[in-house]
Amino acid sequence: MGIKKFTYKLGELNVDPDAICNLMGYGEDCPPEIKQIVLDELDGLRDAIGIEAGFLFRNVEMFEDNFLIKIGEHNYEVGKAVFKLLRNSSSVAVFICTAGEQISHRSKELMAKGELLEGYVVDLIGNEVVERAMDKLHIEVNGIAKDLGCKVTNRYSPGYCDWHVKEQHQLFSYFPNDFCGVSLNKSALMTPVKSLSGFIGIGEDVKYFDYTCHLCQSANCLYSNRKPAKANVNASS
Amino acid sequence: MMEELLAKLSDCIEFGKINKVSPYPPNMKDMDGADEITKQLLDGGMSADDILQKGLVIGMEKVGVKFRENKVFVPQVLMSAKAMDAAMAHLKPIFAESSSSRKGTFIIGTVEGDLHDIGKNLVAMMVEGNGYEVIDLGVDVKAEKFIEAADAHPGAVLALSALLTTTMENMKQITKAIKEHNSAIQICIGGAPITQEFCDQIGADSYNPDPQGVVEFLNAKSA
Ligand code: B12
Repeated sequence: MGIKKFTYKLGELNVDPDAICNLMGYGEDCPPEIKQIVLDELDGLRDAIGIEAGFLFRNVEMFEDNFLIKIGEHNYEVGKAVFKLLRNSSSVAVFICTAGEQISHRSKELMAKGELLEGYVVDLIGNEVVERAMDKLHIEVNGIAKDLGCKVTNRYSPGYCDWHVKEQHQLFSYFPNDFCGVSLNKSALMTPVKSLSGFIGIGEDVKYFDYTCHLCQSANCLYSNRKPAKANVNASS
Repeated sequence: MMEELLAKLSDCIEFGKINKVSPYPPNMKDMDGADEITKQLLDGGMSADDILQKGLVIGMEKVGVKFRENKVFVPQVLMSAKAMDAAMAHLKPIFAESSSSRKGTFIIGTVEGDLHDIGKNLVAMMVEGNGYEVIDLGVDVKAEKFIEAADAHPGAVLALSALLTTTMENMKQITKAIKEHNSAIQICIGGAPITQEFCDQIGADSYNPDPQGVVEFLNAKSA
């Protein structure tokens, strides 16, 4: 199987306005005028272009001693936490996903005009869009895995836990240049900014967790006040 | 009378009341905002300095503390910054004419290789709201550009932001280059992966996890 690629419209991604309010720190108490900004901006971005994602499968060898995952010649030192979460994978879906440039552009444009709150809301919409696009991709991967008699893990990205962000250079080497419009600079920063890369583990005996926040040490995470992820890939396919 | 207006102005900043027509916050609907009150104070003969230091800054400081304590979220900070902008629109022309006092100059940028700017912008807004002149060099800023700006504004404090562990490495190089150029230039650093330990290691002068921290660092210096 080669590379699979998808293009999404914002409307099909189940972006929940309340989730955006949640990212701002609000619960049920989100002021109506702020919620309205979220709704208006989501509506304005309805036809946003550039929301793209893709993946390919690669066989892996896993070495518990040094928490190493090998894909051909490439070594991925994913660290203990990520290694354990990917345990028993026989292959991985390597993915790249982006909310595209248009959303970031809109955010910057609003900020520059002094529409700070609106610009910030759009920035958060970008975060949510890339995550929801990833949910779609995850479901695709799960479907293929199932046909092979396998299950999938959650998704994990270089830069999280002890997995170094610079290993994205190897990861990107499996894809054509500018795949999905995403480029990687020398510092392993992706452009557009609202982009994600990483692995989804695949195997007969791998584990999917509904909630992974307890595995992370981050003291200041935006997502720590979040309810468990809605996108349970096993339930929704 | 003027005292009362100043207190009101401080409230407008704290709660993000921009001007009379602004519907936010709902409990200040139809009241004068930062825009009108600043004008009234100027018309009443108060100096731009006093309006800034005794009104606007007091309000912004409260926002900074509440943000640090998680009592308000980014949206409120942004509304306060916007109210601040409305007031500063009246004051900036006066500051430009006189040599009079902003508390100091603060030059901020996201380091080379990094494009993250929301956090950096928040820091810039808070520092400006606390009475400093802020020069924002934007994102992907190289050492030379920081040095050039510092040379053009002697005594200014530099601030570097980075969001990735890889661009932290660039932060280290940039700090080194600046210090080699002129070791007296003060450098503040921040961003999600940055720690006090890293700050000590690279020889920067101050690390803060939030905007209020850097404001307190600057205030301590200018006091
Ligand atoms: C939302 C988010 C995303 C979103 C949006 C990205 C974006 N920045 O727009 C998405 C999902 C797209 C994403 C992607 C990735 N992310 Co991310 N992401 C986050 C998260 C959860 C929040 C970032 C944020 O917006 N914070 C809100 C803003 C307002 O805060 P801030 O920028 O930190 O600024 C505040 C302070 O730091 C401080 N501050 C900032 N600058 C300065 C400067 C000075 C002088 C001072 C005093 C203070 C200061 O004040 C600000 C206000 O309080 C953080 C984790 C975290 N809790 O911070 C990870 C985080 C930034 N991401 C991380 C990683 C690894 C990634 C990816 C590389 C993962 C991957 N392989 O796909 C990609 C990279 C994307 C790219 N373009 O290259 C790491 C980076 C560290 C590292 N290992 O390099 C973090 C820290 C998570 C972690 N591991 O703990 N991410």
